[in-house]
Amino acid sequence: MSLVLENVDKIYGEGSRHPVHAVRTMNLDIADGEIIALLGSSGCGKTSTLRMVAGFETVSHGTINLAGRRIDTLPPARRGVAMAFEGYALYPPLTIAENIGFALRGERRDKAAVEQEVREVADLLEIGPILGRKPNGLSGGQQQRASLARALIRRADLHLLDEPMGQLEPQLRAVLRGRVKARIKERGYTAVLVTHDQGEANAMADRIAVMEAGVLQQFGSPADLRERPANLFVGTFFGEPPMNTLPGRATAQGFEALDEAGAVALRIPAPLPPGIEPGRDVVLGLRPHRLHLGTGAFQGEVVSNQWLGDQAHVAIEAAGRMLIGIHPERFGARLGSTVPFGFDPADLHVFDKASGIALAHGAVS
Amino acid sequence: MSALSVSGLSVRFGTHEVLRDVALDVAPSERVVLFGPSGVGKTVMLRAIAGLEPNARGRVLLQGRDVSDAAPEARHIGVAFQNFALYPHMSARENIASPLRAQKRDAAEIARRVDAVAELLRIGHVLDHAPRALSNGQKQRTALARALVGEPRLILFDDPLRNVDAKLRYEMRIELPRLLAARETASVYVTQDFREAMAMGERVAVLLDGTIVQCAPAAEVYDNPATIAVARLFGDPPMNLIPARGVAAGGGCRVNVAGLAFGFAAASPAEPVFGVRPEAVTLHDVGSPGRVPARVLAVTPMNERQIVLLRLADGTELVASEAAAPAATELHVGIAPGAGTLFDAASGLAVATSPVAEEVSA
Repeated sequence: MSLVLENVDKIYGEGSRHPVHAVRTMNLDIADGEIIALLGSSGCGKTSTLRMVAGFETVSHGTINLAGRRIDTLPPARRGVAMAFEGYALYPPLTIAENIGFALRGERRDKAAVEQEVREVADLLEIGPILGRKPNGLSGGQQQRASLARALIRRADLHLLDEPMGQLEPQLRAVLRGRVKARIKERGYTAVLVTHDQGEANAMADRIAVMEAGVLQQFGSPADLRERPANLFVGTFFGEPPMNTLPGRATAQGFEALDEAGAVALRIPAPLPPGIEPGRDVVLGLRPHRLHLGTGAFQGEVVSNQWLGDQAHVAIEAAGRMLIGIHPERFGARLGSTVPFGFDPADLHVFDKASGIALAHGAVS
Repeated sequence: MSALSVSGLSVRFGTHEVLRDVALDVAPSERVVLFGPSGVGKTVMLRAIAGLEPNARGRVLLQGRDVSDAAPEARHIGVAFQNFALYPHMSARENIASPLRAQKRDAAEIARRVDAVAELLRIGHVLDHAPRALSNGQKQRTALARALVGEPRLILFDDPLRNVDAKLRYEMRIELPRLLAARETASVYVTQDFREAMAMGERVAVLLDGTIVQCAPAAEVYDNPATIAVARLFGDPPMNLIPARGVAAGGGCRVNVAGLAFGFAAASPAEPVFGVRPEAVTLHDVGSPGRVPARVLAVTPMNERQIVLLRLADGTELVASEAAAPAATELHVGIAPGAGTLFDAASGLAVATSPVAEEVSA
């Protein structure tokens, strides 16, 4: 069901001499059936936000509505939320099967039907063989999957998943992410997952809310975050490997990227996008995937050329700056050789140097 | 002459044999990555090379010199650990200088060499700071500078980027091989991240169950894993591994995989497993020979790639890695020409590669 956070603040020790403002004026509007990720590094406010939605933390200011009903004033059990939380432990005396089926039993469902559903979700998460065991003695990864199974088996207005697959072995990751996403979509669940791992957010979420220092930086689809980052923080935080950035300046002819001494390193002729006047100090951003290797108007020295099995990562030094480019095939250039490179000005991101706010995506008007 | 030559290396803790008769050769200025999951004995092997492992049996040669019985400090090996391990009461400069002090170099030479390596690692401006005043990245660079400053012929890296953020990790992945190449330093680099292994290593030695199961150029390990276990560990998403049926055909065998057929130039193992990289799974909107219908279960993007989970008619799950998300839910899948590895489930070994696609007979 739809989830709406309106002007939500979390202030620890409000009124004390040193209040901590963990979440600031957070606004989120999540549609019914949507999977969203709260993404950020530790201390960014994502977990405080999740805990307020779950009811483990009070809301300092603002309101939270789920399916059109205000829930921030309700106790956790009455919010209609299914959870997989790190601290939300499995019951030690019960087997994994009993833990997973616990909520369904409470609904007085037929025993055989419950067992059938438990078996199905356990198979989905590859924990079928441990259904008869108790939580103690299981690995962290197995407990995590059991906890996720317990949340996924429930039909609820909202599913809150805290780092749900952080401990998955890489061998299982692609398949289990796909199965879990398919399950959530098939059942039409609305899900909020919290993660510090942009790989997980990118894989699972329809939209991603990037948080930093208690403030929502941007809420958009993965494509939005990649193609239209709201500021330099999002631009360089989201995307692997990180966006190439070059300090620069707007001129009447386009943009100039500067080297470390402040001299002009690259001239990028382009009509200035609206709102950017000549003389403006900017930071230019270019995604490594959008740097063309072996063709283009610039020259650089190849300082690194690494084949990773399905793509080549190439580092080019030009005028004292290093740029990373990704090539879908092997790039046959020796270290130390000079190669042409370039990019489409439409792929350039322009940020204001002082504020970091994005001024234009695509240096063309 | 090899920079490092290890032979007959065994390490036993009580009844537990961690390493069993391991051999490894590192050429001068070669970068070798020691790759394997956690707990497999990679660190134990580094400790044995450095002379820090009292339970080690076997021979260690450095530039042809047998150091098997030499004390750690007499081996002149540089070591960089996962957890920085800086002396907290010393400045960054004193930390970096410590190996030279131990060699009783004179003050002017020490200052010159510390400045040079600090410049290289871009920490010249923080040399007088104590470790607690350094960022994680600066700590890591200080630890690397200390390993490099004595200009050892060989440096051992124990997963040095494990605890640093993704950005620094990526930077170092580009920088470190350059640094080692420029100084012509041979290295053994431990990691459990296959991308780091591919980026850092000219050769990758895969350590599993106490032995090195494959030691080859990184791309070779990726393209032709020697065993099912290597195939499962090396790649993200890893290779699809599908149980198959095999029959003798011609001089080799014909293997049926979820409705597709492939000819391999080797006898079929009793329990054949067909392995194929997600990049080699191809998606099509219409059926034709060599393709089978499939349903898209989910698309989970990874950076610029679209990871597609597919289910075939017989229930087999297949992972594909595509440049663009498929437009339809129902489609046909095939395997790129020549792609695929035949494994033997019983021994775990790769039996053959480069199959020829065949018509499926009813």
